[in-house]
Amino acid sequence: MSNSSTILIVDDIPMNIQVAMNILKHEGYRMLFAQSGKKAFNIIKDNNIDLILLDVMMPEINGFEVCEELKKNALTKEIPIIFLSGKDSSSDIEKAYEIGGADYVVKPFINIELINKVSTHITLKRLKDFYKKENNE
Amino acid sequence: MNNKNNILIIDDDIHNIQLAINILKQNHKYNIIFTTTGEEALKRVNEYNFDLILLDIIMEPMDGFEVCIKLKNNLKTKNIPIIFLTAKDDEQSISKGFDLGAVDYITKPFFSNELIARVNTHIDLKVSKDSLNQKIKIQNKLMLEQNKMAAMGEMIGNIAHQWKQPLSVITTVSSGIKASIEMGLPIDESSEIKSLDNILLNAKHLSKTIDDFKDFFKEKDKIQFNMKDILDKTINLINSTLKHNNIKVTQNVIDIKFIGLDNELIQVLINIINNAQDILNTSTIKNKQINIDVYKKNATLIIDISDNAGGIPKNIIPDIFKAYFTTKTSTNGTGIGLHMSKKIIEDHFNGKIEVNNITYKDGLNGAKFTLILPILN
Repeated sequence: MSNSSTILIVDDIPMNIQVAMNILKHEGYRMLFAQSGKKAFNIIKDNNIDLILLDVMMPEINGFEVCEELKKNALTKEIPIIFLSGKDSSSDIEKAYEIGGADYVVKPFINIELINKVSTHITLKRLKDFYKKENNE
Repeated sequence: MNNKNNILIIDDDIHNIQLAINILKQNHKYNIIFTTTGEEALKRVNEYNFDLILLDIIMEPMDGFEVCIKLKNNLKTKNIPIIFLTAKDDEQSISKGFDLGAVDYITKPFFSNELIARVNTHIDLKVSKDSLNQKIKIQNKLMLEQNKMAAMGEMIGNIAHQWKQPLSVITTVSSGIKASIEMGLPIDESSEIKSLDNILLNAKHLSKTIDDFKDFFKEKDKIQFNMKDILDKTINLINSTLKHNNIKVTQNVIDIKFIGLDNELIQVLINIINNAQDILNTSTIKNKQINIDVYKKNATLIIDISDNAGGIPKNIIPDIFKAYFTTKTSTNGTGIGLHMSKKIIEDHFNGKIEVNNITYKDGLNGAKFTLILPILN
């Protein structure tokens, strides 16, 4: 498990992407970003993504729609998604978990919280991949 | 082991506990235990193996942070994931919770699917990590066995070698006596006694080799031993192949007593010496030599084992202590000898093993393995 994991950050506001990247930059991840759901789909198609940090409120395709789309596809449904959102309305949080989100983080981030959640879901994903590969062998 | 995962809920408000239980019991995999104080919780963790702890913060007299610190400082409980479940929602408390080693922090009021998702995540993670650790443990044990078997094979070969000579003496002498009796030759008592003594002496030697061999495979506790004796024992165990291969061993060993696992140290020495031996056998030099120097440096004992077989290619030096790395053909190398040596030195002696290439005065090159062992008082 030595290769670095790849995180995709999806947010329509560049400043928000910058903030998340700054918090995570010392953790040794490879970080990609997209400013729209559409661009995110393209990046996911061409890269092995281990985790997605996904903003909820985006023009055109919003975060929930991106998630639902990814969960429908056998190739992408195992990628853990952590929702990032400025508002903590109850219906949003409930929906995030309902549609298969792994976690939900409210902006502004508490650094250590974001770092911990990212590490939790990446480790879990890698362990699951490891056991899956092993069972297939 | 039962298949259910044990969750401990610690909260001074029984209603909160009831709420969490109602949400989590939907998943029949969970076995839920609760306490209303931190003190009680610290007792419970000794009775059960928990896979997750949900911990309230505002409690009397011991608060959740304190409980967390105590759990993280205890070897038995430090790997149990802790999720804080609390009404305290200020940034400082959340940061403190993670700083103390919690894996997550949920603020009340929470949503049921939120609690379920996060609990599932951390139980999954704990279970996967545990099973990976288990696998690694089994693999290490297997490697240890393999190495022992290889060492045993090596030594059986050596015993066969060592026994040839005394067995042939016993056979020759006893058939001589038998023949003279059968042919009715006059019996010279003093010469017969000499012959019988010779048989006894050789039989004793056989029995001693077997004792050394048996002793080597016994599981033992740390003992105090003399380094000179250990080196002599080691060389004795493999002397016949060294002689057979025309390899001269020089020893420069200080007289020092050392506390540790003697057989394990012998195993390491045999691994390294045999390695040198194998390389020397492929080399064309005339005076094949292995030098063993043992000396004290500050509070450590240094054991240098060097050969003059030309040294180790630079590009493989970083790999030689890795498991299953071998340059030998499959017939004589398992690739775990040096790996096991490193593990034994690090895990059982708290020491270090290093390797360097050296150049001798006569211009020959060789490899030098250095064992650095802290001296216990």
